[in-house]
Amino acid sequence: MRKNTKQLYWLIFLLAFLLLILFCGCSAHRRKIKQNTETNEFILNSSRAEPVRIGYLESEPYALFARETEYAAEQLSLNGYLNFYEVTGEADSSIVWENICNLQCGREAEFLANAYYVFSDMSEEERSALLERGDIDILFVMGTAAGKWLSSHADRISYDYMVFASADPVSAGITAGEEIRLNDKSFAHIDPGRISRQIEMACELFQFSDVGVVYMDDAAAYSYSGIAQLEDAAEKYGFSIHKLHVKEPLELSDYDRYYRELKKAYEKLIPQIDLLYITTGKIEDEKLPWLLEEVHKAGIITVAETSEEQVKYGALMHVSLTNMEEEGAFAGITLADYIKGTDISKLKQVYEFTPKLSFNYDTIKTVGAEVPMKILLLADSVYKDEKNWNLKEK
Amino acid sequence: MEFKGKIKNIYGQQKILLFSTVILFAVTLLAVIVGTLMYRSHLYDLTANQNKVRLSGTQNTIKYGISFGKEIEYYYGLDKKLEQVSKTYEEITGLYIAKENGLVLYSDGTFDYPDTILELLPGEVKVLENSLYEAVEISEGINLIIRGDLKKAKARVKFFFLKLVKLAFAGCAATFALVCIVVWRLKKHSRYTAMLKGIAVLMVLWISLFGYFIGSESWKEYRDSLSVLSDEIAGTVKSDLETLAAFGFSYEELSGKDAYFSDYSDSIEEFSKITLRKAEEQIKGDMVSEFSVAYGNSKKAFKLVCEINKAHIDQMMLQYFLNALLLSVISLLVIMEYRIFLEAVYEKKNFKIAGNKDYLSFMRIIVFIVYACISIGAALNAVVAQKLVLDSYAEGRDMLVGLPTSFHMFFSLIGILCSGYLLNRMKNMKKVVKVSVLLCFIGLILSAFAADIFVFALARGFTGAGNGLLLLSLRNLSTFQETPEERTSAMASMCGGSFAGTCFGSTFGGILAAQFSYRFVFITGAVALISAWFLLLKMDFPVIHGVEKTGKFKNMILVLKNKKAFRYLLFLTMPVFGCTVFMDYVLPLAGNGFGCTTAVISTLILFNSLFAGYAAPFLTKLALKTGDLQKSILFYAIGYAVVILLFVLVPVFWVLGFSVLLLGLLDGYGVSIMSEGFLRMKGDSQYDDATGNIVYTMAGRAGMTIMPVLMAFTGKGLAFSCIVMPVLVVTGILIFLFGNRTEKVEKR
Repeated sequence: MRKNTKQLYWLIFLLAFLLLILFCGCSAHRRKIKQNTETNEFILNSSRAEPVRIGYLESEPYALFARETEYAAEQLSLNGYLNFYEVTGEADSSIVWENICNLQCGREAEFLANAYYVFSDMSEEERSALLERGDIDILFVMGTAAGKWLSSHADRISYDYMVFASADPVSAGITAGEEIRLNDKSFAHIDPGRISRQIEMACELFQFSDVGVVYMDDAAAYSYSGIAQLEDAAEKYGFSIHKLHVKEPLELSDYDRYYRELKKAYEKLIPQIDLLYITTGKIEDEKLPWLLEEVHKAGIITVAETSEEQVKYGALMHVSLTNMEEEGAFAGITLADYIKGTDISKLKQVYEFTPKLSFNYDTIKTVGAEVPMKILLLADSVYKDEKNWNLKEK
Repeated sequence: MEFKGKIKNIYGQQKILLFSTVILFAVTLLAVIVGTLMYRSHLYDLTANQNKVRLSGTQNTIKYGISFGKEIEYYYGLDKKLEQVSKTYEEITGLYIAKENGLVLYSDGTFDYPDTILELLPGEVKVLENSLYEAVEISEGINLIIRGDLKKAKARVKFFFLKLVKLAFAGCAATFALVCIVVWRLKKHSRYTAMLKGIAVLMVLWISLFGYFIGSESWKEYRDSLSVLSDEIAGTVKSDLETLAAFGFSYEELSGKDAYFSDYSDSIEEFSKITLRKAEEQIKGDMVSEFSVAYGNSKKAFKLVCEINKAHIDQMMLQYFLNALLLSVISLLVIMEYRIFLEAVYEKKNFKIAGNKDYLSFMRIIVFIVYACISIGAALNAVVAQKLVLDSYAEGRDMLVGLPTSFHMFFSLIGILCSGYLLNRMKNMKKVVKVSVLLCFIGLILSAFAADIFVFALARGFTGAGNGLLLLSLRNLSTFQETPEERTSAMASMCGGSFAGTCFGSTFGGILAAQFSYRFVFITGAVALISAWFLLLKMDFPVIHGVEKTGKFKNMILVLKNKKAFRYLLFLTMPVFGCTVFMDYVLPLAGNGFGCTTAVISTLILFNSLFAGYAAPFLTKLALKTGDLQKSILFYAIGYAVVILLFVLVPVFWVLGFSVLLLGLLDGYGVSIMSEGFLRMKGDSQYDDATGNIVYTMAGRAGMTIMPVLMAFTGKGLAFSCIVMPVLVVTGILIFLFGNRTEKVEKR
């Protein structure tokens, strides 16, 4: 009997000990779960009862819109809202949309085949009909013109809309700011650092104190030339800005005048500056070598604002403003979040692209600029050989 | 007292040979394991460094991607980038971008990673199954986690292990042959003690030679690994130069080369500077790797020169030396314990010690094992506490770090207090020792599984209670001996066992912690403790019919009623003993802060113990000979305060080491002098010395309990918080002296 009691004591003791160990393990597990929950806050899991009906609207037929929509579709297929979507590089967005509609799966989202629109091709009646459609939950919008139009008629629509591929949705009036919306149905992707990244990179690479810039003297050009951001950077990094104004051409016949004045303005700036910020988008890339000839001979660094193509044609460097693959993925993830149940007003509008760097080898040599080895290794492309324009890509 | 039975006579010639063989193989096996672990650890370091070099470009690209303020959570396309890089290197089996203690944000398409990798801090390396995970910082709280394949490294470790096993086998066979000769030769002449000494010498000699071989082989491999690393860097530099050459840049045209190369030297501690030179240049010393890059139709040869970081290499060399030394010391301790055990038994067998006291020689082995297990975490307890606090709380919870130390001391005090009661109730010393072993076992297991600072403190509390209980049980065990000679012999035996166990445990724990996780160290301690339990089951203890007076509350009050003794306890014993947490609490944390490995911290603990242990008899005699006991006590207390103050004023590593050694010397005579001083405070009081001793020990533990808490109150960093110790000691001395003077005046 006594032996039995002793054994019982031992058993109780062992059980208590095991419970204690279990408690320790559980407390650790609980903490881990808590940590994971904290970091997963942004992932919502509330599903809608009815499928989200999705339509498509683009400003005009444009290959980049189609490509970006493809990347969005790829992301949606990763999230399980579409069957496997393979990016093919299709330039026609109507085919892309058709493919998307054919690949849809699951009950959470419905991609409407009869809700594909190209804004520039639509008549007034068609536009009104789109505004009055009641069988759409969200319209996926590509481009500034379409986004601007929809925003100005937001009071007439019953559905939400998301605008992507708009260079500056704030100044275009699509959205009021990073946090503020124009209405409770809208969403627009904003990349506030697109201009400042270029200036910051230039500041990191080169020593300069005077920056020259030529642009048209009006509010729109001031906005899309990124002059406000340039002024902010000047204050931050302590350099001066030397501005000159040239009227942009309105028709083809005006281009000769425009180029003459632009070249003259650049040459006028040469004695005052050590870096030229090439802002305007109206320059035909082929004209750049001629326009920048004297600037480069004077050893002045040139930073292209608009595109990588300008580096190919002679500008010393460029930091990319956009990246359709990334914006497509962002669009896909944002749409997936919406489908999951996140309110449109809660979706994060700001997304900064991963900057891509490009340099022109010949200009670096001509100007005598020193680009650190580490930065050159980060470059996505370096252009060389004026005659052949060969792209040497990693 | 009565005895329940006898231990079998197992000490014949064959048995000695069998025991010697077992010990010889055990110690050799230990050396093989430690040697292999050392070698494995450096191979893993090499693999980690190689992977870091391979991924340096990717790391820079991702850093650049987020350098303009982009949030990593919104870095779309990073998955594809990681997948692309992962496919480039067959040695890389997984790449992840993860938030520290959060979740994996991006992966290269492999999702079979363990959750524990999220706990990795930048620079940390973790080995799980056949993979090596290492975290490289991308931005604050965001790491790139590289999973490297370990198959090649494991194959090399296996080869090295087999090489050691072959040598160990041959060495053991040769040593065993020599042992047989010694046993045969000396047995013939009936020189039993000389025979045991001879066996011990042979074993120590073998293990020292083997340790030297392991150390030198590992060192050679380490030096070779530097050359492998240099070649890996050269490969990456070559690839980068080829990329730039394709862009059109010749090497001469490139700028910012120093910054580029310093990226490598900054991330690899072994190299202080990396430069690229012309192939024609003659370079001596350092690591040189040659390669050539094609520029158009011509090729250009280069020499990549990796200058060795002498300070780091010296530190590594010291580490190897310490590891070899520690290996020898722990082997030596095992062999010595074994020899003492056999000698004691031999003496008993020849009736040199009266009575049936076989249990004492067994008890010494048990004490050795238990103390080794309790001390296994000496070098890492405080570090684990700090880690647990940092894991749970961001900052401002320094006070919690000292909690386990306080709990340990507090519960050891409770253990001391309960020992008399338990002994009276159980009437059997064996049961009391069993309870103490059980408490230590629970404490070690809980320490291993504790995920919370409070659970860890509780675990330390269990160990402390077991420790306290055992401490008093050992004291009682010696006091129950019949003659003064037996008492002295028993006490010396127990002290020797606990001293050797502490040295062995702290050192072995340090070596283990350098290779494995702290959980493994504690579990090893717990598992080893089971052997003590089985030994306890095999032996017989005296049955005690009652413990008179000793440890009773009433008697303890009598001690405290003695004003002089009370003053001594409150103003001298408590502050001075409180200062001893410098070894348990300050040394591991400060050492860790200085970047010392647990092996270095263990070495310091070991030397402190050795200084205290071996200097004790000589210094105590010297102190007592010089006459004035009070002056000696004051010298000890002030010495403690001054040494700690030295570290507060100059908080650098060498001062810490110097302080630890000085404290060892001071403890060499101070502990017994303090005890003697307390006994002389008794005067006309009616309490017995044993109870006085208990109260004295408890006062010391109380001081140790309070000290970490008081230190945390300063809130000004570890080194500065130590100021509390000398301040309390000096204040205590002044009050004590003032009290004595007032009393004298009153008497007049």
